[in-house]
Amino acid sequence: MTTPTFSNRALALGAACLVPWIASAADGEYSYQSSAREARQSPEEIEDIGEIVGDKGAGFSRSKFRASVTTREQFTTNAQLSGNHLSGDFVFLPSVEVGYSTDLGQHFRFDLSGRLESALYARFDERSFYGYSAVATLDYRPKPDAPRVYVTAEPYRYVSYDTGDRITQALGFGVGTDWGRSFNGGRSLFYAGYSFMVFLADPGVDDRTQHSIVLGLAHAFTARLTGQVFYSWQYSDFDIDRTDSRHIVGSNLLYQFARDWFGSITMSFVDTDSTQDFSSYQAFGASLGVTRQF
Amino acid sequence: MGLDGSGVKLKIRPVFALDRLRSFSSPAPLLALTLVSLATLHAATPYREATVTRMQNQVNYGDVKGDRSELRPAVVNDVVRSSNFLQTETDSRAELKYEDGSLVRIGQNTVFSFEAITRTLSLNKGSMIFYVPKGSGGANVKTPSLTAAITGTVGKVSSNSIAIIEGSIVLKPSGKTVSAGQFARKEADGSITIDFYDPSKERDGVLMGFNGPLPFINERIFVRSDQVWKPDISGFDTFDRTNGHPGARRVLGPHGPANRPEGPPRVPPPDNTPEVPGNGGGQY
Repeated sequence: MTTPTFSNRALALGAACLVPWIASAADGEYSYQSSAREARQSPEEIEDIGEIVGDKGAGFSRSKFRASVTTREQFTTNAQLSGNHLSGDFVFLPSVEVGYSTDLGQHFRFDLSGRLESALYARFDERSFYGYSAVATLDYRPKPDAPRVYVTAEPYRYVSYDTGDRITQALGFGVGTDWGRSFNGGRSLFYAGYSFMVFLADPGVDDRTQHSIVLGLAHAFTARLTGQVFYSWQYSDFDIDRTDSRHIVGSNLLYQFARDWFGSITMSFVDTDSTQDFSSYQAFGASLGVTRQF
Repeated sequence: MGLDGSGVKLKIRPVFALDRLRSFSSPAPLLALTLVSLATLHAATPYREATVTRMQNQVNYGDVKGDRSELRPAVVNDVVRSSNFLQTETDSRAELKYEDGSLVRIGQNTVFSFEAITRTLSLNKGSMIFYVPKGSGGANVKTPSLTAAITGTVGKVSSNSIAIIEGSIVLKPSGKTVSAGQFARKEADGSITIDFYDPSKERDGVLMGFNGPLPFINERIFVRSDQVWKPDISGFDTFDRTNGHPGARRVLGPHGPANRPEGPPRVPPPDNTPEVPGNGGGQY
């Protein structure tokens, strides 16, 4: 049994980060100061068509660059990812993401994002890690509402807090396609995607190919509240004698506190069936997160 | 006068001569030509009339006769023509549907009319939301402050501003384009502001849901949609890579005797001391 030496640190850190962010988000409710020269809408007009006000501070967010900071507190029934629900734990997950996106001609688009992330386990603190991941994607979309086809490169590297050793690093290359279609007057959206990836990893036991499909259904309950259910299946074939089949079912609610502040509640169930018994597991997870976009 | 009523005469180029068409082995070119012709004709359809499809509270139907107008209470299925107008009282609203599928929803304390040939939607006072289908030939929007040409577009209009939800408009006479996510507003000093509007308020307003959602596909419905509606499973991948893969287990420690993807099989110690459960060959 692992001694919960990390619990106070992780939970306190998580709570300390979550509370002021939520409070700050609530305090920072978007408001727009009208200038003297600005023509005003009448209350009747606002009631009928909503308020038409400038998107203050939209300069950076509408540029080709983006950035966000996210903190998430998650409970999982299986921190060790082995067996069924035998290692419950709280995990604090802060991350910083930056991105750049640009159109390349009429049909192509390039997107690059990098994320620094960390996971701090409360009970199984020896599993805590930090690292980075990045995704470079070149999209091709023949028409605005046509499926997207893309090629992607995804490097990642993670290091153990406990030992300082590198846990894993890899460079993935892949192709994929996805497609989203809105309906219900634009309030609901169905999403489907497929990708094939090849990962060259160090240590080499992580070398693998991976097929993934994902299906999602999103619905905007209100202008600020969006709900989503999704299903994903991944099939991984390792260079060693191992194949994994992983099913993920999840749902989340995302609420926009203010223009750049988002809160999310996520629930998920993961079922992995591996040819190596110790890697078969089931896990249920629930998390609460806050994101600040820039 | 041309077939489309625009006064433009169609010229038949030699490539479309009948003997040339006969030489095609497939009916596809003929079909394409027919479709293009139909689309051209359809594109020029004037706004001859609109039907009142929903009303709320007090809406008046105006009939202009010479230099005077007569008012009567409007009813659902009233046919509105270019010689008519609709006027709403406080807390009253209405929806009109045109033959080409265009929709107009007018808010309270509004006076609305339209011109047939120029396909101009005129907001004399108040507010409205319009939807003009793509490929319908476009239209114009006219308010006391702004005039714009529109194509397949969804927008909100008040007496001094136009906000574009989908598509784009071109302001007249400046020729400046206002795209989806932007608004144009005539300010108190007479200048015109074009800027991005607050997207969180895009779906606000009673008219957005009046008689159901607008029949357009809007991929921008979700605020920063590309970061919201697409299921993000990267978090699951991160956990799997750092805890569930063979390489990770070598560093973080396995959880059972079977967890040795590499290396020689474990040989029991000479004294047959049982292994500690859950700590088979760990590298802590």
